[in-house]
Amino acid sequence: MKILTTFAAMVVGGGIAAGSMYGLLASQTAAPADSPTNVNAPEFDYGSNN
Amino acid sequence: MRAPRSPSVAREAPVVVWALALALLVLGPALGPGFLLVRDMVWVPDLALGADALGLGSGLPRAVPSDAVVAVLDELVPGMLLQKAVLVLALAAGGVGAARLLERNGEPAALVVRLVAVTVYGWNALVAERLLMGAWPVLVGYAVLPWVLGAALRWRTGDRVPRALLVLVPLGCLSASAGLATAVAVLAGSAGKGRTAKAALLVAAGNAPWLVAGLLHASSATSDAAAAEVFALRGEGSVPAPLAALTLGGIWNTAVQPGSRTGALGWVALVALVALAAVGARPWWRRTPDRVRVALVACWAVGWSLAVLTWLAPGAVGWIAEHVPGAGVVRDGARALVLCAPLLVVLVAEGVRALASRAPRERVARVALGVGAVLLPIALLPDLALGVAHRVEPADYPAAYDEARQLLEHRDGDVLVLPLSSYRAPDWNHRHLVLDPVGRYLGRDYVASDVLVIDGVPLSGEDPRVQDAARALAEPTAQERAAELGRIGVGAVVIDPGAPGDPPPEIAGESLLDRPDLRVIALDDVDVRDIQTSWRLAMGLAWLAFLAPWALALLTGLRRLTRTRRGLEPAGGTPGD
Repeated sequence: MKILTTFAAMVVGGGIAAGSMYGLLASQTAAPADSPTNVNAPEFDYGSNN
Repeated sequence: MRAPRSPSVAREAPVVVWALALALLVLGPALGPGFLLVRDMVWVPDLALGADALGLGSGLPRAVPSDAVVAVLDELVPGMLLQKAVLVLALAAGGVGAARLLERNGEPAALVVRLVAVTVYGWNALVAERLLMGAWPVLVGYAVLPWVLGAALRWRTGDRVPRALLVLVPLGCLSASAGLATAVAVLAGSAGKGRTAKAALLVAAGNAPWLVAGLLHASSATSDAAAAEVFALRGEGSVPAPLAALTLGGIWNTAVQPGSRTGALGWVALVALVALAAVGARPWWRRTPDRVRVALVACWAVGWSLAVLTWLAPGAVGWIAEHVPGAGVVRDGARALVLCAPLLVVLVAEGVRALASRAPRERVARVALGVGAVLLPIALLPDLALGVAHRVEPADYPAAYDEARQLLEHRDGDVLVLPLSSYRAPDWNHRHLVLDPVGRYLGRDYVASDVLVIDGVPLSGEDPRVQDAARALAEPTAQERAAELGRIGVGAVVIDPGAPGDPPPEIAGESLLDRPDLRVIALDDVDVRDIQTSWRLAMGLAWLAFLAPWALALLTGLRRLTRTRRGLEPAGGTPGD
């Protein structure tokens, strides 16, 4: 039982740490959502509700 | 022999280092050479301390007192460096302050619990969204908030207003919404037993510049009712607005909601943080003194209620903003969520503490869980890193901006910035959206469009001189346009040929500069705008009130130093200091 809880704790903690690293790397390589702005727009939207 | 380190320094060092590391990770490449120009965040090499910055401009002041504070500080520190320093400190200081809210009887919480508090406070949706909105005074207020709460709570144990509170309140009031949040925190932390009136006076002093400037502009201080619906708290992806608000998200502008918040990770964040907070709620309630509980819960309740009100009843908020001068400040509901952060952070940290007490005893397991708990906010919002995934990047102003500034240095009158469109996305700024920076750069008071366009729908602006300028531009000849502009106090016209909006008509005057990215025309006759003496007097008093807490802190500090040197007071000071 002790081994199992220790193993589970390592999986949870290690999983979050690995997830953080993966997330950081993945988010840096993905295309930004709203940038760069479309320079051909007649007037730029300050923001959007959609 | 090396002197032993102070226990408090050794105790705080890991927390400070972690907070700074997070701030550096958030900004990343944004800390390189250049200015960070993102939506409303417009910093220039040398901001002028003119009528606009002092709240004496023609339009409802939007950057009072922040612009004036920057204009003074950038005389001491170059604007570019100052901007970076302010952002790093704003992103780091709040987490350190939040960790201090976990102290019990002067004893700090376990290191891992404090590190969790630092990460939750410094790495969340509110930080990402406000950074992308360029709302740096809100971030400064957010950083100051836990320190303000701590100082306000300390006031209860001493006779005098803590000097820290005198220093922090003006810092927390650099914008209207930040000032209101600071006021709530001060009152929630210190009210009672003769302190309430003093606390009210203190927050009134801190908020005086924007309050008085707003009153002077009362005729234009009401907001478009339609804006309340637009700026209301909004859901993130499939997470409904009131639930998103529980984890400090829900800004109106979906364009700045991080991608990780709008997908499945948004739900995971909600479940994980709320579950940890729920686990921590009972032990926190049991272990925490009444006054701290009341302060943090009151702040949370005010913040969440105000935010949800904008979502629940935007019509009512719009009506108030339309009829009550200055009430439009609450229309951006998610801004009120800064008040929810301290309670969320201490509950999540307490939740981690409670779970840690049940964790396996093996060191390796405890370390793994500790690392996981500290990194959890990063795993839930990875796209906050490195300038919110490179959406905040340094840029250099074109050389023409500097030329224009020099050419206009000794000219009379204000500057009209054309075309009449508020936002730009120039190539030199990586095509990132930014409030037109040219007016601020030139070091002159200026007239520029203040219309906001949301999803193609314009929301009316508040500066009456913009309408006057538009009417002047509609005159039939170039000479008549110039004459009419001169009559409303415009001494020069600056045109950004690459900006969106209708190309401006020809205006008679002397062409001072004609570059692809900027044109400057000086007008011949200008009636320099007169500022009423009563306005100058009122704003003078407001600025004196704003500076009074700092002056008082300085005086009491000097007095204490003198008394300590004479041996009349212990070096540690007296309670309340």
